Amino acid sequence: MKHIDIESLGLKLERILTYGQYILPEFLLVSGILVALLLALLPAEKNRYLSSAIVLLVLVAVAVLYGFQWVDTYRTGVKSLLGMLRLHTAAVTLKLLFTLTTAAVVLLSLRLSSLRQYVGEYLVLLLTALLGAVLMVMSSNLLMTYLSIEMVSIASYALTGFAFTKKSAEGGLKYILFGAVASGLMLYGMSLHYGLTGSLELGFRAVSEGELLLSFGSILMLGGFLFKLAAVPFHVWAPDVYEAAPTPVTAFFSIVPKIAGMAVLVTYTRIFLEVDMLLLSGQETVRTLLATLAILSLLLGNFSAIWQSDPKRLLAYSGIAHSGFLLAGIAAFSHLGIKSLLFYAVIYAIMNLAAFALLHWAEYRYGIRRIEDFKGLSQKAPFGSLLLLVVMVALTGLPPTAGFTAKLFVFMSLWDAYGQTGESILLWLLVFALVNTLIALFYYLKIPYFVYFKPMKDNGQAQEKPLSSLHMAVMVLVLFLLMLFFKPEWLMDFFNNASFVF
Amino acid sequence: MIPIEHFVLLSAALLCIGLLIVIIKKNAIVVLMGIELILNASNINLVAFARYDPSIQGQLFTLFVIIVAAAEAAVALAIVVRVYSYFKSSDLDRIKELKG
Repeated sequence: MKHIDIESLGLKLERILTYGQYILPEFLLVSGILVALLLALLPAEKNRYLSSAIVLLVLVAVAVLYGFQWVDTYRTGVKSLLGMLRLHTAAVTLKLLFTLTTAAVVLLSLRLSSLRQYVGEYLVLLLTALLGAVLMVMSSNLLMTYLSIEMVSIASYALTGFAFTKKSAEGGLKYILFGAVASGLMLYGMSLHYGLTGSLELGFRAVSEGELLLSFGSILMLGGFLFKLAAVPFHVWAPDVYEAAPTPVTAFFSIVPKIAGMAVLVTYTRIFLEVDMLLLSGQETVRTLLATLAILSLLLGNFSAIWQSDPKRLLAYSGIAHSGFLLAGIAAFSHLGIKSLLFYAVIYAIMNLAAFALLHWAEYRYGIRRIEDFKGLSQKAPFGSLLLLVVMVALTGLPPTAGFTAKLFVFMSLWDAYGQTGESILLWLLVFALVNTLIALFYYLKIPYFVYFKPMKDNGQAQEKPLSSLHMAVMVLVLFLLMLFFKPEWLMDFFNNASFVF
Repeated sequence: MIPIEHFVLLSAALLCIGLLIVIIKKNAIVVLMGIELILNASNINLVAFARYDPSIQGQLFTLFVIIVAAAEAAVALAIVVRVYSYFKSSDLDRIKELKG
């Protein structure tokens, strides 16, 4: 037994207090969760706008703090906090992105009828998932990674059920069973990793034996991250959960946990490179593995999406294909790759937010739940249809939208990595990614096809209001998509001199 | 002192049993029990390895895992109750509303 030394304890406390300032935004987020918990005690029906407004205020304050933190890390570079978290520009960028996305999701869910009674609980779960995601992108310790992933997961399982229907209960059950098995396997991998490296910190290697077990553990860990990313072969839950959850929640699922999973995977790729995955020489094997998974995700996501009739299911499979692109960016193993990933993540978040906002609008205003129902929407709602067209073009990755630019950057980083290493798998990945962009045309443009070229059945529906607030918000997102096509350097310049530890 | 290999073998056996239960069993609650076995397999590993670690990180990790497992089980059982009230069954083969 070690004696507790009062002096060193004081020193430790002092260290914790000085590091406290770096996680001030997270403290604010935690107090926001507590406030939302208290708000849940108020009668929900009357106070739902008040609760949402307070939570929005907290989110905006957190976003502002992240803005300051961004400038701070831009100047000082990477900062390690007690061996648990690591603060760097890339992480702060993603944290800011998550916070803004969550704020948009809160705004979007104001209209959800199922939330009238449970708005407090809903906001608590949403903020908890955000907190977990924020910790995920910063984590540099096995314990921290596990806890933050579970924080996102457990909140997500409960959020899936918030439609209060038969389907949403089933979706929640499928999500929790898949998720718990995936995280259990990941935990087993982590325990092996701990035993064979002697530390929970990343990049720590004391023992040099047990290479086989170590690579086995790494593969199990990779599985857990792929589950969060919804990439092949851990994608099975995605379509069911996306269909079952209320649309704003689906928007959240398709953006925040996915991109956080990407960030964790990037952090751990460096570790995987050190442990000689699959017992072969490090870099090539890990690259082949990631590139193969990327190709499979692209193919499976795109080919399954073609047959879908539910728009949310379609976007779920498209999300799996987008995971393929994210994996491709990771497989480049270069700074250019990371930069293109950050760009892709931002654009992906904007596109998906806009797409789900429009689906939500079509659902509550016109009762559209299947793709056939989009028939003749352009006559009823010309402006909304136009926005839908632009967003779908962006998701396909065609000019003149930033969806094209984002894909171009990923292709460029792949080509660059191929030029440097000459590994043929990268060329294959590039070819498959290009072919898949073409396949994506078939299903993304199915919705605008129904909207514009199929006649409407009945004329009884109400005309759209000239400019609803949702249309204004989506228009801002669409303007971003168009602007970043013509001026990608506005965003890229931010990443160029940024610090990464990935 | 029991050699470390025994612990690792025990945890590997528990992991396999847990995975088998998850794959074979049809009842949602039994599947959850299998998941619990997987988590406990990792706990055994962590505690056994912590003996070779001057700090007690591994044991601390185990405490966190126990707490997380409890939280997860609570949410899972709540969802199972909900599913049961809709489907009148917790048999996973009968819960198939979502398809495509």
